[in-house]
Amino acid sequence: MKQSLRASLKSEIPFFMVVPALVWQVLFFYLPLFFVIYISFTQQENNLFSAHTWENYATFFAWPFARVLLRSFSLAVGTSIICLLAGYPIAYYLARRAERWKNVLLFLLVLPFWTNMLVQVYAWFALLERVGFVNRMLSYVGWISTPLTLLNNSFAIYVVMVYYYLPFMVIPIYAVLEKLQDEYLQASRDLGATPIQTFWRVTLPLSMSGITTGFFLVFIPAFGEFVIPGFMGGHKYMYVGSLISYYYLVARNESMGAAFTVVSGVLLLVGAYMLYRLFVHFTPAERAS
Amino acid sequence: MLEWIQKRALRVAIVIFWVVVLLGTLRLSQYAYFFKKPRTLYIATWPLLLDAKYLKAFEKEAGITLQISYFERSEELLAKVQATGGKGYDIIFPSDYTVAQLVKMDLLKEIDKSKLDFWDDIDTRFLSHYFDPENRYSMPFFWGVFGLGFNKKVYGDTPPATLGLIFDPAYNPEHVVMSDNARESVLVAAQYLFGTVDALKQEAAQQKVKELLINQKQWVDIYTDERIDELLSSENNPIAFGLSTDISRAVRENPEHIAFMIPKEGSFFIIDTIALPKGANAELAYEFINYMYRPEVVAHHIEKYNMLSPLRSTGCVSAVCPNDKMFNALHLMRDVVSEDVLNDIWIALLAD
Amino acid sequence: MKALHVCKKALLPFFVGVMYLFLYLPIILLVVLSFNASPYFYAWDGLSLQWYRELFTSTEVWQALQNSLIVAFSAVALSLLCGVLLVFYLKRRYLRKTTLLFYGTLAAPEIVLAVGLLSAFVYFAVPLGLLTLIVGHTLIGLAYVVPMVTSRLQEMDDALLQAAMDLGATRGYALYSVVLPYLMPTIIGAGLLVFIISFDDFVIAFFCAGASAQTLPLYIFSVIRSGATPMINALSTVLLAISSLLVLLFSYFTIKKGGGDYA
Repeated sequence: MKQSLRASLKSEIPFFMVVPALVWQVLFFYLPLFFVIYISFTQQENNLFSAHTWENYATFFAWPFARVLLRSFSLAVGTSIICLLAGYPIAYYLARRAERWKNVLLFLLVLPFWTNMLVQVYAWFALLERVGFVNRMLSYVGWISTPLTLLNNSFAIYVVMVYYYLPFMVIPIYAVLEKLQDEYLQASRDLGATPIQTFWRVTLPLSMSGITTGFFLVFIPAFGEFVIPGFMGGHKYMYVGSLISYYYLVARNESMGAAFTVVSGVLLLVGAYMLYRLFVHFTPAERAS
Repeated sequence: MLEWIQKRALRVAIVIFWVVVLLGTLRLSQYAYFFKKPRTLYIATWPLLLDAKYLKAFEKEAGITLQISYFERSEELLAKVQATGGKGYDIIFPSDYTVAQLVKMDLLKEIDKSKLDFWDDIDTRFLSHYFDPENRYSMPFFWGVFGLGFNKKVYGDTPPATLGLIFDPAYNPEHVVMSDNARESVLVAAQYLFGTVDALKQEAAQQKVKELLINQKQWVDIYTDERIDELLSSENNPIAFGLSTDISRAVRENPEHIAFMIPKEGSFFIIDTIALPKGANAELAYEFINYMYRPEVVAHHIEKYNMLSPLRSTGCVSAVCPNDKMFNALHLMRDVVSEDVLNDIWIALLAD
Repeated sequence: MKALHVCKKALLPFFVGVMYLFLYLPIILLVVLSFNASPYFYAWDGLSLQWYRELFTSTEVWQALQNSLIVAFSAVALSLLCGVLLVFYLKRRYLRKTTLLFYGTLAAPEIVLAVGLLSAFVYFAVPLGLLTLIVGHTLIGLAYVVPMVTSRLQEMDDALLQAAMDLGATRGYALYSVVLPYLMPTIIGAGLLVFIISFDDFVIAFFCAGASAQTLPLYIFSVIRSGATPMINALSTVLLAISSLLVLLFSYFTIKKGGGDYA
């Protein structure tokens, strides 16, 4: 009996090693998720929870909430698209053109991560305010006479969103382009394609997986982003994140907060899935190697 | 068969083991309260309120370590005290209406006034208010007046002292800095429209306030409670609604151009207090509080942070001091409507 | 014609240059401002080191830094340990599906994670503090470690492990002397990534940190919202300098060692 127990114990070592990570994930992600969904169906009155009701969800069928969801969604899509348009050339240059500078440029791309995000946001204030650096430079060289309003509007929000999320787009695309075999491009050129045709019909489709990864690495967090749009927009607009944070921290109504979290989460999943199908549609089928 | 059961049982045991280890370690940390560093005070306060130099001097003098954490909004303080059941902090700095909420939730400890050596010096105008009628739980630490800070270059030396400057299109408001606090904005709007906040009890009035605020948004640059001094003194914004504490800092930084006014429609004042949560270490706390109320400490903080002190001996030393007549026209910000109404208005304002 | 060709060729590098300038404009500005004698960004009062002096004498900054480092190192250690053990010991055919379990953390907006964690902690009557913060950061860490290490493991040729065992090693020894070194670059990379994410995290700390767990981002948040303190600029400049140095040292050593790839 003891012998077989010992043997069983020994054979279960892998299981023993595997469980902590899984327990962690279940306990601190899936269980909380369940709580949030459960709480969303209750009503809160001064810390007492009661009843099972759909009422919380019913509140969200009003225009202000739809507007908030729409605003976050368009911010996420807009940021992702701009990051893609600006980031692809950078990734391309790093992967295929920058020989000696590649490592330096990669290092420089990642370095800003080590600076606290809020400090960078504050630096953008110093740049974009009416009495800020940019306006001063522009009026010093005589290009403008009255300061431009570059802050507390959509322009500032997008500038800093792109500023923050650009590396997330560049790195996956870079990773894919780097592995791209020269032979394909050679072959395309040998077959008579112009550089533009080569890019459009060979490079781009082959880098699709990188584009997809980069897109979602930007899109998903950007949807829930509220710190950057808050500061850059003068706290004038509510985003999904700001509303959730408002419910939890200011209104202290966890039920509503949970309900809105669920609603926005579902919307994000649906939206992300549809976009994903779109990307898959444009990704060439894997050829047997 | 037996082996199969044994294997399953073993696996279940392993899972339970890890769950207990994880949760157990986490729960053990609550017993850290018993191992709290001796002679330590946990303080939750507003930024730009307590000068680090004087805090260090106190630490040296009394042999007490201070652990400070900050909050920007009263609701944040409320949430933090609630979450720790009043045991997380020894000293907190709630605003007047927050004290009322904390008292209702029974999270505050009664203060022993005999331990405080400055009590008689407190100006009675700041005691016995609605939020703590006998001052059993809180003591006024500093106060401020809400008003408009404006740039004389844009508005002239003495513009009409009215809230219309930020609400009325006839005055061409532009680049306004407005409060980020739902309570402040709604009450001020009500005061402007009706001359009294009690009018807010009617739904029609609430609707009007909502419309006024939504209409104001087109002229608003930023909703904020912080950075007002920088925005005014850098002349980035010509007009801002805020607390005298912040605006007088702007006046000091840029005295030629920035001035402060209390609008004729009436305004509000706020009393920021010191209170002890239920689980506070009262003995050490009183030492700290007595230190903070020492005349030289108060004088220094007034000088550095432009707050107004409720102590009679210091009086009101600032360019923004309201005279007696003005003071009597000031009200505290009371909760005349439920938070739900405030939140509804605020969400509707910011969502669009 | 030649000029046009040169222009075309120079277009891409020029664009990349402009983008990098864009990325560094705020950073350059804040480094410069950290030496500004005036506390306000719109006025230059000459060079001064006073903010650095203020920085090095501020106990709050050091306390916050200490907390941030404790949390970050713990989160890295825990997530690497649990994650690598998971990938190591899980039977191959379950690996792909199990990794999917961890994607949820990245798909959810951070605020949902924070809120969920808060509810869980309240439910289990766990007091908020450094430990709960470590738990939250480890959760995020796992979401990076597990997929990264899994994909690296799948790139490895099984024959290597088989060969080691054929040469007489036990499975355990083979795992540690063959597989682990192969995974090492990815492990280090994942560790660095988790470190930065934990060190810079704000949302989770905002919701889940207790009274005594003031981390650096939280401290900066409270100080920065109250107005100009170039001391934060000085702090950022110092952190930037240190991290550049670390990364440079790190890459110097890994390049010197010859890349470390078995492929």
